Amino acid sequence: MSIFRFLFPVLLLFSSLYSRAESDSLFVPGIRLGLDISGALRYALEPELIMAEASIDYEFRPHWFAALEGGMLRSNIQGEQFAYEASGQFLRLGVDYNLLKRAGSEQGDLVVLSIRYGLARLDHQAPYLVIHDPIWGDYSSSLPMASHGAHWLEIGGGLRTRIWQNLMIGWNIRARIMLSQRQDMEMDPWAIAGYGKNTGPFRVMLHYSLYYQIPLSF
Amino acid sequence: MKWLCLICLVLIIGCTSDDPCEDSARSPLRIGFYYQGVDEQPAQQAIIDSLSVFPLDRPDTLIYNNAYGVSRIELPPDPGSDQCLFVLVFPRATDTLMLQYERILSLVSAECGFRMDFQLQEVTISRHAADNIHISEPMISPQADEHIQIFVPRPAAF
Repeated sequence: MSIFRFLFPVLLLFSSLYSRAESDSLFVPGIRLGLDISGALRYALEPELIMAEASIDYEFRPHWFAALEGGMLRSNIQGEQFAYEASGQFLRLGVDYNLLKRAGSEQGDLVVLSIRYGLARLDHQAPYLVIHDPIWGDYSSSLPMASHGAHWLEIGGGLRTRIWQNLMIGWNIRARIMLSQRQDMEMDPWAIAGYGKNTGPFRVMLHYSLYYQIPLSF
Repeated sequence: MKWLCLICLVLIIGCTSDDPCEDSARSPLRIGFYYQGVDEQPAQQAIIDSLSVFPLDRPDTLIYNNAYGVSRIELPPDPGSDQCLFVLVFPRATDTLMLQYERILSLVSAECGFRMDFQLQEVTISRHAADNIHISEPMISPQADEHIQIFVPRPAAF
């Protein structure tokens, strides 16, 4: 119930913006391919977690972009006290709305509001692990490969600007709200592909991407 | 516009968070002591004059040793078992606290390793000194301030 209460004003905002966009003319649709480079930056700081993602979006109406994002997660940590391996994939589907006036948009500048639905699948295992406990002594175990699933919603926004011909660069910040996870009662996943670290039902992540706009003319 | 995009590239490097192992790598059971409310008054925090606590099967391992003026305690559930028992020695009586739970492993970070969280299924107390017990938060992870409330008689009747 609280999710719908949260979503309702967002959908209302999008629908009012959509009705304004319909009045534009001289519309040329375009497709953009995107590559998230923030995963590479994070890998430099946290090499045990590899996250990669790409996107494609299509301006189906003036200022309105249908967006599909997908990617993967790999993790392989080998330590003295534990080992953890995980691999997963994700998809996000949603729309962006460009808040900039048409002139800015034609120069390649976009200020977008985004909404996404995401889903992910993850396989993970812990071949060995030890937990130290000063009262009860060391606890040793291993957990076999198990599957995990998750669904979430994202709301956010960001900027994009043209840097050279059809090449664009931009960032977006996303608030993620976990809708449901298929709970593995033995082990929680460390990170979920497309969602990030599994530290709670709400996360905020920043993405930085390169985009290539494929010019379309009909 | 280009500057806004480039400034953010610098900011993203600062957006990684550290997980200090001290706070996040253990999940203690947090217990608060209360005096039962009377005549529809809310429960009040209790202060136990002296309290000792140890695991039932390890009487030499004192987690609290005649601790003075105690209103809250933290106890470690056994990560190797689905239940554990603690002995609570109050000033005038001794109680046995039994915990039953499901165990859930989670990886805190590459530096801190794994942590065991616990989903409480049942708690019981022998009620020699304590009047009652209540689960306020069944998920034992570092986030919650209190998982169990133990109600004790007011000092006059203790």
